[in-house]
Amino acid sequence: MKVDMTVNGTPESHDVAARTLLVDYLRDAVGLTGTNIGCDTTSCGACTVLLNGESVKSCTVLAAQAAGDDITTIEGMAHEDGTLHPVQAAFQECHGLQCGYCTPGMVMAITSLLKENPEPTEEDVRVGLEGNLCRCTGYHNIVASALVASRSPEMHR
Amino acid sequence: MHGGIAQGVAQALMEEVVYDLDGNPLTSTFADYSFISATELPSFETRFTETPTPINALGAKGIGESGTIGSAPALHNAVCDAVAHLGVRHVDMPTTPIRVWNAINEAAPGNDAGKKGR
Ligand code: FES
Ligand code: FES
Repeated sequence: MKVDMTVNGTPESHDVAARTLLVDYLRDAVGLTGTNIGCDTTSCGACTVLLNGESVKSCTVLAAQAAGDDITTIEGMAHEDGTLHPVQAAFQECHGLQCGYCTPGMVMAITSLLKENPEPTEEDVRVGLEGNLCRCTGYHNIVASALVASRSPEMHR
Repeated sequence: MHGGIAQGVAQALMEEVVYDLDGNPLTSTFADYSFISATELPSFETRFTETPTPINALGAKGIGESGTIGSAPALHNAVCDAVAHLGVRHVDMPTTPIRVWNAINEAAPGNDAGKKGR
């Protein structure tokens, strides 16, 4: 079936099997492999993207369910001139990653979290990131990244 | 170091690889393998300490995941200590809520099974 959606501002139209998951649509049909697959059981959050501005686990959404919607992946976060999005910049500043596998999902989840709650406490961040697993970092620097990003003027525009 | 601490904490409290009697893994996805998240963990304060080992000439020690090596026994001992006054001598790792609950019940006065501890 033909599934149309906007991905990072670009209209996409691809012929895919009806059972295609959004994450596979993004990785295989669109060719954006920044969105990772860590589990396929809605547990790890590596596949988190924004669907109409809100975080979803793209392994748990059918591509067809997102037809006509607006998707943002990690590839769509930095500005055109290459300047990092404040959440990405905070990860760089705070050393918020080690292997980086969870990072695209973490960045998307934190972006959505900060939209809902622009001035979170550490506790808010920890609870908000419950669905995003990281084996490497112990979360300390990821939580710090979220808090640093929340103080970026760009996040409050 | 942070990640190592988290992994040790998780090993003490939640994470376990389980097989059935035929050797089939029962914890093969995150749906049945409990994995620690940011919610269960605090932030960490880390400091350098230098304690050379006396058993080799360089005083050097292995460093791989030293956070894991320390945090698992620390957490496990803390759980055992927290229920020691109830007569519990031992709880198998990971100290899941049901294991702690069973250990408390088994150690209850009048329950002979508790004497051997679990
Ligand atoms: S791959 Fe989607 S939550 Fe793990
Ligand atoms: S940085 Fe490796 S899983 Fe998070």
